[in-house]
Amino acid sequence: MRRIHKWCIAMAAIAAAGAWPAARGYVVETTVPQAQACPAPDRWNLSAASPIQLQWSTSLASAQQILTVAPLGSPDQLLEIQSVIQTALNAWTGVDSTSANPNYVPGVVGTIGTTNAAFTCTNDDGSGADGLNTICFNQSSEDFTIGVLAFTRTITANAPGVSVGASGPAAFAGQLLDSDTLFNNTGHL
Amino acid sequence: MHLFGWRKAVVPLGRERGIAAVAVGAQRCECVHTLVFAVAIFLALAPDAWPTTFVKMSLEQLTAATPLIVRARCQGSIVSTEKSEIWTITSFEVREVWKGSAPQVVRVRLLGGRTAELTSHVDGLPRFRPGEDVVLFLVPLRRGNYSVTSWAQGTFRIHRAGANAQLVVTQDTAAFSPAEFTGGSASPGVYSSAVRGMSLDEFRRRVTATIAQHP
Repeated sequence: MRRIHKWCIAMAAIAAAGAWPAARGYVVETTVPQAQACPAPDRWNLSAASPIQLQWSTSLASAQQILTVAPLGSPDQLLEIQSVIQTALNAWTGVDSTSANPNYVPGVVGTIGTTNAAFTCTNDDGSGADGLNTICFNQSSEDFTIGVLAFTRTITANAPGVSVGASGPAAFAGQLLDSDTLFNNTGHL
Repeated sequence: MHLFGWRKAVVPLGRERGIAAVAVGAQRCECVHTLVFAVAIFLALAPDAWPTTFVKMSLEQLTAATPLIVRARCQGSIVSTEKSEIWTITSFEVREVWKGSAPQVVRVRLLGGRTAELTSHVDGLPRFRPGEDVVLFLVPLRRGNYSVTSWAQGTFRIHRAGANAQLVVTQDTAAFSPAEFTGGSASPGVYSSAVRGMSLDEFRRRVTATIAQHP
């Protein structure tokens, strides 16, 4: 009887340990499909044929400055920023078992691109929904009310076949089609 | 495991290189802006951070910085799209004006929403249900609509609580992690400085007292 009691306690402890939420560096978000179905986790449609395409705008706002080791406004500064972004991306794509790891799926991550245009992220006129995943340090937006420093806007498909700008048609509901990250460029907080 | 979004791809930046890329305000009060932006970007990119980062503001700071403060009842929302960008426009019947002047109905335009084909998501933006009683800290937009000061920070829901069903106010950021704010500690838990369960009378008294000091 005592042995059974111990066994039950051990099983309960294991179950409790398994139920304990693991530490995560990401937040799972979902999209409710157009067709009646359970929410689908938001994710990329990753393959060598459709790699992750990323870019950042090298246009830097005058009302704020990006502090780097390299001198402000120098070509080296842009290289340094690009290097930081690449390092961050590598941290994700280097995770074992992720479908974004080029070691498992060669060619799944495209080269980080740049654009010198200032307003390439989520824009007040809607032109930022272009299917290009962009980081912007110099994007005007009415959504930057006082106290908002930075945000990311993602657009996902509610059904297969849907597209945004250059994204190409979605393969499934919950597929990420466009994701922009904006930093407040006003200098007023 | 999938890569959950581009915004997550930049998450480890702060830890990998320290604060290598730091945006700072350079016009007024350069030191403060430098510090705020440094912390903001570090927090925005730290592993536990959410994809939206706010400056932590007290109720008094919010009040002083906001041109229009109203108590209002949500009438309903519509979705507006331009190209493929999505906004949600929510109409509110204004019941009381605490600061500034407002029409009888204000329309609040916030990024994100859902159409038949697409879902646009931004963390930290408030969403409303018809009939909700709220206090909103509003800023006018160019098109005649309004936005909410600091999004969730400027949104206060009114509900009844306690044995005598007293009207109390809770800020949307009450359940946020401190890591979502500059100036917040890294310890887990809810944002302890947020307004949570404050009586509506006390809340109104604090707001009007601040307005008297900073009209």
